[in-house]
Amino acid sequence: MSNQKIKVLFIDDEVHSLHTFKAAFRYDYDIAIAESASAAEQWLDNNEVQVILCDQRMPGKTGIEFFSTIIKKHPKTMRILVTGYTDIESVIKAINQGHVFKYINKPWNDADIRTSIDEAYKFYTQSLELESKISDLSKAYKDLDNFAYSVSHDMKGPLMSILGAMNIVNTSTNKNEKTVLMMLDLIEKAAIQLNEFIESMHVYYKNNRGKLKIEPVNLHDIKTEIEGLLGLKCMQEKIQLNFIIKNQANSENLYRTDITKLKVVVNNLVSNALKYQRPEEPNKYVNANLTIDNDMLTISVEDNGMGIDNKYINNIFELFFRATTEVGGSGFGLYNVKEIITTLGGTIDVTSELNKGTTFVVKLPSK
Amino acid sequence: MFNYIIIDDNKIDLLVAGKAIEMCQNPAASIQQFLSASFALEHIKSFQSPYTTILLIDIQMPVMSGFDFMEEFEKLAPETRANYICFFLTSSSNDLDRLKAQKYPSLKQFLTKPFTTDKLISLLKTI
Repeated sequence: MSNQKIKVLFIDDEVHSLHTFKAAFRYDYDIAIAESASAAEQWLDNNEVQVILCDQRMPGKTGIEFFSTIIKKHPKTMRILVTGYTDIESVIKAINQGHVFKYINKPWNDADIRTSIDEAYKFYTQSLELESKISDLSKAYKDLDNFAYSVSHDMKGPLMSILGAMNIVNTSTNKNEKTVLMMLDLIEKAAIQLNEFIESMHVYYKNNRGKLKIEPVNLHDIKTEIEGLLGLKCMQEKIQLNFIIKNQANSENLYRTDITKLKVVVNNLVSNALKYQRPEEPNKYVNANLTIDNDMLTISVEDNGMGIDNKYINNIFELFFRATTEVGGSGFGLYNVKEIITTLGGTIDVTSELNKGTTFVVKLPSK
Repeated sequence: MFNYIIIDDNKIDLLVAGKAIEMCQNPAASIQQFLSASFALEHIKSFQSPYTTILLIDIQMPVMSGFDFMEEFEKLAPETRANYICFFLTSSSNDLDRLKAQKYPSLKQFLTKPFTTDKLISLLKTI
């Protein structure tokens, strides 16, 4: 239970009873009192309570009538009726209709009141929790629908390309060698596309499920691995990749993080920088700087590529979002990056200008 | 004779559909391929052709989707629209997409990938 006192409203037409109640419980609960149903209704318009206790026999509205009036406006508030045995019929009815959580016999004793309020409050918090769980769940279901739709599209897409190309080969009557070779090339590209998609889906899945494995990091290992992965592409496409490592951490105080996840971040950012280049730019470059300073790793990846339209800059981290038709992408990459950075307690910022280039800056604290 | 405009963010599918049209017995007046729906829309707005144009439009594309494209297409002048016959060409088997496609009067049919010469021949029979 939180440190805040439970807020309780007590309604009784006997003023003496109100004061006794307040005196008895004011140290345990945050108590408000009202002399009549109408006064209580007015008070409730501007105040919130978790538990209401109301006397049944009052001039004007009875306790049960009062509860059925406020149930629409304050459905979550817990309602406890205080009553003598003589009213038992109407009490049973009220409980069965769900208007009353509990009833307390008059004259009440302090222990009964305390137990009832605490139980009511427990029920109150549990139903709030349940409500937020349900809303989380329905969001998760919606995400799952969206996910299934996009995944089926993105996996089916390359397969349909392959089938289309196969069909052309099969129906072309003269089996023209040029056409066949062209279609074979397309089939290969589609297969690569599908494979890349499945790889990034795997990363997505691992991000969501996998536990962090924190260990000391050697940035040079990361550099070597990424350069190995992407070096060929840099050479083929004549892009200058400048990978600079600066480690200001002293040897006793090693930088620690989840290496696999860190690699996914660096690989994605550098791959993107290489991918979204402008073909007409003669001096294509990507500068990747990894700097450790005072337990903080800063990754900055800068390119002089096509840049991102500022209209879309806030959407680029969304799942399946793609800001351009120029270059193929799965819409997984930056989403995965952002998820990892959030998990590792870091931040990511992006600045970009169309046809000038893009810079991503990631800050990750040591774990 | 027809003109063809194919809109698909996937280069492979553009090439496959283009090839299927080339291989079909009916000669095409022209085949134009667009990776982006917004460029295709600009083209439609600024060019006129004596031939009717068959539009093959993918649905799931970044920036401007097939649905976004149809929204804009329906706003064009009736005499412009009359010159085009629109088809969705998609790998989606989603019923919601089919349902959503029904609200565009200019959209003639919902075709599923892969695009084949057979599909093209039966498509041409419906025109």
